[in-house]
Amino acid sequence: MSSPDLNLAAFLPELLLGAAALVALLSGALSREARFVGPLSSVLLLAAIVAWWQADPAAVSFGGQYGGDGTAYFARGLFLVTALVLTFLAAGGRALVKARHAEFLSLLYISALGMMVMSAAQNFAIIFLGLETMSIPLYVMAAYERTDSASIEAGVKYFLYGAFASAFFVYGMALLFLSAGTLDIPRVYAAAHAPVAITGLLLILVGLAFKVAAVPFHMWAPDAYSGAPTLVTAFFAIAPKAAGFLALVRWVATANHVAGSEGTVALCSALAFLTILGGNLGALVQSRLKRMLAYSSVAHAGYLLLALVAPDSGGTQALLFYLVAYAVMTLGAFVVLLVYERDGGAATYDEISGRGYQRPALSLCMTVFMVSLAGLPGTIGFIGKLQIFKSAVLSGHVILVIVAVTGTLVSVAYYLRVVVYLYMRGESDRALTASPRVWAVAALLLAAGTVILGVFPEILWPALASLGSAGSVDSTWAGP
Amino acid sequence: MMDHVLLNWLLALPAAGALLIAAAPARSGAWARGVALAASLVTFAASLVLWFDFESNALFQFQFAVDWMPSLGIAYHVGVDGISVLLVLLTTLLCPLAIWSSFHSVTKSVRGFYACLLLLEAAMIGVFVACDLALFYVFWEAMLIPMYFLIGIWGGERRRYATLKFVLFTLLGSLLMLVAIVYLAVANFKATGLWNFDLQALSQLHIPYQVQVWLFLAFALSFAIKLPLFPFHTWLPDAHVEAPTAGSVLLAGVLLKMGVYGFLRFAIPWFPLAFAQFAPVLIVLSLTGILYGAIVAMVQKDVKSLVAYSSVAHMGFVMLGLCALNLQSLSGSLLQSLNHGVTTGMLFLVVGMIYERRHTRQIDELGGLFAVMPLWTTALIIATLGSIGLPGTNGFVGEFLILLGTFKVHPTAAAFATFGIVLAAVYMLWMLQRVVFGKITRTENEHLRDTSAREGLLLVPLIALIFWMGITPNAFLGKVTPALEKLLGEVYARQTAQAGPSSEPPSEPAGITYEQP
Repeated sequence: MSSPDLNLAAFLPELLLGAAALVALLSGALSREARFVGPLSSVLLLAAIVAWWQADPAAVSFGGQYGGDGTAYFARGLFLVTALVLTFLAAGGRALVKARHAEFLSLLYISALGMMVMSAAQNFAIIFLGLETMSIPLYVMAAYERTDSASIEAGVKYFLYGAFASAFFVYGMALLFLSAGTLDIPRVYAAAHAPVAITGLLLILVGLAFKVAAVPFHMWAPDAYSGAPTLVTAFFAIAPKAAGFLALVRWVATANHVAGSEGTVALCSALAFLTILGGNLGALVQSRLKRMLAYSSVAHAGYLLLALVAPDSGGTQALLFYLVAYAVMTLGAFVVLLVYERDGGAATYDEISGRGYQRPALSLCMTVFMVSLAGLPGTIGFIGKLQIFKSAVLSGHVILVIVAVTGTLVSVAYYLRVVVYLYMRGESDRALTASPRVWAVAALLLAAGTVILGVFPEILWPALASLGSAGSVDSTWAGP
Repeated sequence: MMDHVLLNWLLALPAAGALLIAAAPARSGAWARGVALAASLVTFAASLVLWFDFESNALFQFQFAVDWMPSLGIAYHVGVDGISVLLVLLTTLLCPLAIWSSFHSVTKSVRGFYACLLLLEAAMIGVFVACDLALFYVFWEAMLIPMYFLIGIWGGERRRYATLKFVLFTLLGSLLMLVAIVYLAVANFKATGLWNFDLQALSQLHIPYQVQVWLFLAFALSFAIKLPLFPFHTWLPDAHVEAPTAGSVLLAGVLLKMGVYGFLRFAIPWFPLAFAQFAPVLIVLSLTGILYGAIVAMVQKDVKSLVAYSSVAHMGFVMLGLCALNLQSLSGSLLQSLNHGVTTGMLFLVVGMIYERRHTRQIDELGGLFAVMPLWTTALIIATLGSIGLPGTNGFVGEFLILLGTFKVHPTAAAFATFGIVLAAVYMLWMLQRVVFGKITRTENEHLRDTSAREGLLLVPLIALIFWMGITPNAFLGKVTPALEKLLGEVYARQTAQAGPSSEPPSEPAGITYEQP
């Protein structure tokens, strides 16, 4: 057996991100202040992004087990950019993590590296490798406020549920290997209709459903989200979910071959149904903002599952677009929440009442994010939902779309409740506290992105559509 | 023929005004008021050009089209036909009045208020001029956000409840409509291989009866809530009463008409078989609305909620005319929509004026106002007479045409509806009697100021319209008739071409398969 072609050149973005993680870790050990670590790692991240931009989407590494399709290329870019944005936001939040800033960045990069591996790998073993690399730093980050019992609780809960999910995943992999004799995704296809392989795939699905917080595997999310420091919650809400869904794209392709598409579609439909309703109804009854956003992220996982139901009707493209849309608007909401927290608490709806008059620009941004999360036109959230609904209707799942719009209707009630408290409850009497300027800038940029991409989605859509159709999807659907 | 820029100006002027207001420093209330009034007046002037240059034919005119999201098949395509041009005119007329009426009554967050009003105006115009279904939907929902703020921030005591109810009710309908819109686009894609939301293209789709029923229900629910048709009206009294005067004027004057417009533009011509099937149900609901609205209006203690419930009754008339589906009844419905915008808009303005002075709208706290406010009383009387449809006023022509058209096809329904007219006279005149006639019963009412010059000027155009539309309705109907004739022709052609629901299922053209939703 000859040694496979490693092609490390195509792996360069990951190597640079790993280097950034090591640099951050080392500088944290050398100097407690480590003021230079942010800029230095940003440079490395920028280099990684350039390397990614220059790379050929079709290039594969590790003998064809890594990369090579549009989804993988998209994922690597998404997580590199997310890591860079979080670096900037964390620079504004030095007080949040005090002298352990360098370690924080290091954990962030290791986790992002895991996400890239998880969503670009073409082999279930490598996906699992990425999943663990992603998860372990996340457990630590959830418990990063060592003196805050809620944060510790969040970390422990996340760890226990995460370990549980990993166990499912590993057991599923074992069964799959038993049946197919390989974990290479294209070669697993050969084990079509083998009951053991199907059982294995089901267990893997459970593991991934935990990671994306799909109902009924979502119970960890509200506690982990609300206990973790808000900056970490922002990262939780967007990145692991995206990684999980990109892995699910591969899972769906595998399951379509192994178990047949009827069963796969039925399973995804059921999960989407439960997740949309469970997430939205759960969010409706929350009185704490971070718990509301946690359930809202569950609900959005439901819409993303709806995209998985129809991968061949443009669902994969819609999924990629929605992941970007969801990242932009959710990150924006959390950034504004960070500022509100600095101003004197933003745990409950009551605590943000009247802030609209105190911070007009940022509250307007918050309104934009809420409107976009609710999926009203003129925002990126609307275009995302429209794409998903279109693909689902095209593949004949009208009932599921009606369920999804019902969920959307419920979501309007709780998203607009934020706006009610901001503007319609009298003025706030809390003192303004100076917040890092980078947060305000980030919120304004994200709000601008939400609106501009909502009005002119063509800026992003053709590129994403070609990435989404490069691998598994027939590209003739896209029309003109 | 696709490069008329006038409609773009109609959309851009209010939006630009809103941006100008937003760009101004925080405490510049006068600037916001001035810019808002100027922008809305210029928009009105532009719409007058539209009205005078509009030719009396059934075509879409002043069209402008450019690709917007080509990969989704969504285009920015605007144009007006006879149905929409009148509604655009109504919108641009009521907006400056609503803005000017708020100069003294709105003191909180002035910039935000006028920015919301202007954005609302742009969205409302957009709904009427959109020739692309996705564009229509974007405007339809974009209108919600400014209205949500107008009621929620500047409204009365129960504003938060009222505004959320308004938004959720509207969205309940429009989200199901979104599913139907996507379904239509998918059906069009399966038939032609192209993604396209253009009204012209979608209206050519051959839709089997079974599918029509579902699509009609989705569209009709959205429009019935907006109209509002009994029993989907419960958001309306709350929203109307809690909204600031300007909000009530535009809500009653324009937003309700979007329901009428939706039926005329989409629900009736696109799904004629399903409409024929559901027309009896809609007629019963319209009649219920007419009588229920009138009876509930009778027992209201608050003038504003009386006017709100009278809207339910009036819009029931409009729906009745739509269901009768002949030229008289449709002309009557469209004219009555405009009438309702003018008279109810005026009633809300007049009620707003007394509220500014007395900070109450309770009927039993007023009384005998004729003695102190003769001009104001005259205005109230004229609006009341227009509302109950006295011959010579606009309300008479509209109701008469609706009844005439309805009588031809459903004489019983027309007979029941006539009771509604009698009841309308009862509750409006009784209100008038208790508010303006008799002796002054409260000392607070003894020294009320009569209408100021500004308030008088606000009402003059509306008074003129009440009589003008009442005496020469053909000046308005002339430009509408061709479009309505075309609509009726298409509906009849389709109803006969496609087999009715009772006979054998319609044959489907080869190569197109539809799935039952």
